Amino acid sequence: MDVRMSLSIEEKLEILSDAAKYDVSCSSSGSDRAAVKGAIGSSQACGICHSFTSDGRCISLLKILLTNECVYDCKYCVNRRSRDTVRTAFTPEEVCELTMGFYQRNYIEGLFLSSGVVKSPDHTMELLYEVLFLLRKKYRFMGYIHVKGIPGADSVLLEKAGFLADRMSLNLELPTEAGLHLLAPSKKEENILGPMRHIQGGIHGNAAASKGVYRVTREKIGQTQDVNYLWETALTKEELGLQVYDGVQIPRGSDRNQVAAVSGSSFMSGVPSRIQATDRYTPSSLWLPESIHREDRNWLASGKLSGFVPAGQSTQMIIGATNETDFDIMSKAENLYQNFDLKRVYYSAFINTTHDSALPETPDGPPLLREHRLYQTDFLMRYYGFQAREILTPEAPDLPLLYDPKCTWALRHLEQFPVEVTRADYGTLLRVPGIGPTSAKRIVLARRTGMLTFDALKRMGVVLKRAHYFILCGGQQLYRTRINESFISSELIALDREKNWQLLRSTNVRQMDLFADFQLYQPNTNIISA
Amino acid sequence: MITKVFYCEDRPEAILTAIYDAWADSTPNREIRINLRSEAVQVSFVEIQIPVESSYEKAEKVLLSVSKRLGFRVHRLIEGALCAAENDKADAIFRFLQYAFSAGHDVSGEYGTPVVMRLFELDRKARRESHLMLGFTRFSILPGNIAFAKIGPVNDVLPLLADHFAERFNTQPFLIYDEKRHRSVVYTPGEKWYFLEGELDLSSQLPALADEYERLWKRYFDSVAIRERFNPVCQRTLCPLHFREYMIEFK
Ligand code: SF4
Repeated sequence: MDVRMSLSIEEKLEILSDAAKYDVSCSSSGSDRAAVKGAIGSSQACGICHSFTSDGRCISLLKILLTNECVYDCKYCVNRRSRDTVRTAFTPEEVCELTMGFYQRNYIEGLFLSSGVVKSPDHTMELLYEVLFLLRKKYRFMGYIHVKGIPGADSVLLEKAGFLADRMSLNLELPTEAGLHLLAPSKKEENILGPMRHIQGGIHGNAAASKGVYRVTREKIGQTQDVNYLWETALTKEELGLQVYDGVQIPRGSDRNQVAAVSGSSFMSGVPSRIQATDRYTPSSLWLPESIHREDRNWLASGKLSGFVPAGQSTQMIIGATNETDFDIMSKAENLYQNFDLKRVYYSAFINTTHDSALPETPDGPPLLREHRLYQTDFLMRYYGFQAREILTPEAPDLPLLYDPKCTWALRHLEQFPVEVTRADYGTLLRVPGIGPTSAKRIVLARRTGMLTFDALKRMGVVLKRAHYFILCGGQQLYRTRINESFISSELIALDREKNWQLLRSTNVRQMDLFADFQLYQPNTNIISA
Repeated sequence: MITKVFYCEDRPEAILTAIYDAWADSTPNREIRINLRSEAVQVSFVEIQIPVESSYEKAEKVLLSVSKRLGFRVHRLIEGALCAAENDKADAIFRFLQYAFSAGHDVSGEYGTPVVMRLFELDRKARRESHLMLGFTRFSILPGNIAFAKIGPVNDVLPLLADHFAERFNTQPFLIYDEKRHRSVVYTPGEKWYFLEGELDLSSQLPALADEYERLWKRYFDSVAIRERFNPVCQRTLCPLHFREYMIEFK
């Protein structure tokens, strides 16, 4: 393969960002790291969007490939070996300079580095590690780094990179082994799930790592039986491949809010209000794989970073390239949340760039509405405590496109309504259409001290035009309405008619307001969309 | 009954000073209000108008007793509300504090209480914008390696941004200038950031040639958009036009 190294940095950037853009995950959240003396950069637990592209997606990270050269031939991929396209590669220094230059001007929160497979998965993983190491150590970059794990790479190589990154992701790409076999014959599910499990073990050993929403929600509503703490079950550490982390257990530290409480009046005097959290552990050199060079081990052990993959793992599945149902997809996602502790599963509407004969043509454009419904379902599982089977079954394996999945569920379970908001517990409130995690929490807080009224509910962020069919406040309905499926569903459809019509009309218009109008899915901005 | 009205500038420290003065003045049976000076002054014979002279010391005292007696959540609410663009904020904060201090504990979760709810709304408005500004603020690098950004936010978010950038830039000096309010935040490594008052014109300092990274960033910005997902309406909702004036990728 002819790899052109002599291209200008501008040309390389264009080629290698274009080749990376179909990977959807771009959030920079989940890792909270204070500034370090003598180094630029910090990392915020809530994601920050730096810009929005003309397709309405958030730019948070500099998302590039190290190279678009690849020895594999996955049928859906723009970088597949057999495709006739210009190949190039960044040098490690070029990646570092770009990252620093962009970071300094506040264009990005950090780097998302991926790569085509050069020579072998191991070799590629080594290359990625080199870049990360240079960026952290020589350039003293403390911002966010998301690195791709290359399926099939040696677990020690993944570990090494994991100590330098905030997040690591291995893309599942297709929800079933059969799908993978069809479109990415060189990839095996076990080559993806195996490393995921390995990384999971490492993250579990890192007290500075943040917990995923899936688990946090279940702890709040008291349903921890949904989550498998694999290290607490019969599986041995050997089975998990965890020799490296043996015997080290650091308890979780004090509540960060408590730490913040002493920061007092930072506002006028300019004292940074984010005092360095005291529960940040210092990785002892014991934790680091032997293969890391001695000097590097000392530096890594000096406690500047937040340990192994502190922002957790994510993955991505392509939607609509093979014929898996929504049930297949969400069951897979649920499995990943429950058993692999993933932070996020991303769904990417299939865009046909290679026009391989094994791929479906998509004359109506990518299946964006379906992708949107899957994200809504994902949110219901992570933030609302739903199980995949409550929303999808083998008998009804696909999500209706016309209503959102929460309304669909509520209409099928009218016997559980109306809910009395002055008494219902948090978990029950969460299941009411029009009430989200934030407004549910506010309701619970507000009713401790005062009376609830419909007006107050509205100002707390409850979407009354949706919720009023399903709630009572002090024994009263907002309007006298019947609790009857066909009545409510026709009302709700009327409410959404225009929006749905727009969503379905044509490719371009279909995308209108997908993110903005549905509070359920706003990538990276759920902090502020109260 | 005669109403006393304290007038102050629309600056966080001025509002806090007004609250301090109004508090010290609380004589029973007298209506007290705090207005922003920018509001239309309505002279009325049942009003006594008292101009307030800002004092950082008094402002500091108010904040200190808030965080000591009411907790950091309330402190945070006040911080946010002080920066909101709403005209009623000074009086809303005063009324809220009257209520909170008489309760004597953290009232931040009392969404059902109107004075609390109002403060919560003000805080949310200001923080919504300041959160966006964390990402949308654009810096250029001046000679001497000083990062410089110009902003013109709807809410007075500059004080809410300072801590974040001080931590983020850490080893790099920076200056953020709010051209609507003629106030800057200045940071040098190893020191606390501070406010710089007054109008600022740094255009002569800016490099004449377009910065290489600005060019690269524009190129990157265009190349990562996916044609098949083109959706300018969604883009406009998430990144409203008035921010784009300050963002080089939209120029
Ligand atoms: S291995 Fe990755 S880069 Fe290579 S063809 Fe497959 S998906 Fe594309």
